[in-house]
Amino acid sequence: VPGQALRGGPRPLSGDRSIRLLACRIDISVDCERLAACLDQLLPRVEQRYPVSRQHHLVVRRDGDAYRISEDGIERWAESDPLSAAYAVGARVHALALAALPDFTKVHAGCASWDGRRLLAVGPPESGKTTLMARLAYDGFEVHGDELVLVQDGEALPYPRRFGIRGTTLALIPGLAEGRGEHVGPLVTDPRQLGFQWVIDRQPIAAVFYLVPNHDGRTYLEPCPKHLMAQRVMSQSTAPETGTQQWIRDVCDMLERALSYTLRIGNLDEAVAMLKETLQLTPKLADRPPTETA
Amino acid sequence: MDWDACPQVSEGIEINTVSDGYIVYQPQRDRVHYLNQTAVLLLELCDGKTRAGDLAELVKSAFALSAPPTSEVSECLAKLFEEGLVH
Repeated sequence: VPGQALRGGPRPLSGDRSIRLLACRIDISVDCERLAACLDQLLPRVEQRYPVSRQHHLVVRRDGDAYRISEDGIERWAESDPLSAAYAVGARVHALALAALPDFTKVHAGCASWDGRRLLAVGPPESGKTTLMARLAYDGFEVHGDELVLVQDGEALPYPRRFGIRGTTLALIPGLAEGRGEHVGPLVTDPRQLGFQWVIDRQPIAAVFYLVPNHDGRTYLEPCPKHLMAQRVMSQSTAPETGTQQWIRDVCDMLERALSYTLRIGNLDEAVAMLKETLQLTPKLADRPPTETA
Repeated sequence: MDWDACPQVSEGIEINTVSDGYIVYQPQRDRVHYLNQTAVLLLELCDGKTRAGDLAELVKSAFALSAPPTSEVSECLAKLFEEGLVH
């Protein structure tokens, strides 16, 4: 009960945690265990190979019926319950992390690697990115992200975010559906929680696939002209703060080094086989630098 | 279309290349254009010296076509004019 917490003055900030998201480290202090538990569900814990250049501190304190949130010592806003406060903090954490990398083009895409080759699966919402990425994780791919990839100088840096898998698609991923019975709601998870390696690093892209849903049908793979793929990728991305010219250069540089395909995605077994076959046509990425764990 | 005119690429546009086309940015209009190989060839031929009436024949030679693609060239050139990529 919030009122009880105030009787002896402010509760101590017991829920301290530090979250790292690419170039940003954010320390979060909360005085509510339920809020802390919600945050642990929302925020990713992932091995990242990217230097930290910014630091922030978020504090959430219960004050009567309100959860007051301050950022770097300045009170910013308040929420009325722990869940809303957790979502607000989660959203702010991601906003700060993305703001720390303003010079990247941000592409709506899933990102995975197989046998040393990295792919980008670009597509609008509900095109099947998350379903495909989850399925790839169970088929030997190293999955990095399901929604957002930062692109610069022809290389891709997947953005670390937990996956939200719809209940209706769980059945399409046998390994994921096992043991979940009649689970119908969305499942928030990540490759690490599912028992796989989850690493975020910056690498060139071997192949770009534009996803077109073909629900309940077969999967088809067609070469896509790069000038057309550029248009598609631009439509699913936002510009860096450096402007439109850099945006176009980022996309063109990435596509020049990559194979380009349209994946009309239906049957997932067929999709997995086609992706492996295609990636085998490309050279392996260079050996990775030493690990720096978040 | 004035077929005796010699169209020229507009100043200030930024051309980015991919293997099968151009991605052209027009800062003045903040517009992006995605050109296929035929449009790229036409744009390159718009050098201020080549007559519009000769373009179809040049495209025919470049792509080893059996006949000059007059209507396609006319349509593409009209689009390049309309978008302000050539003048």
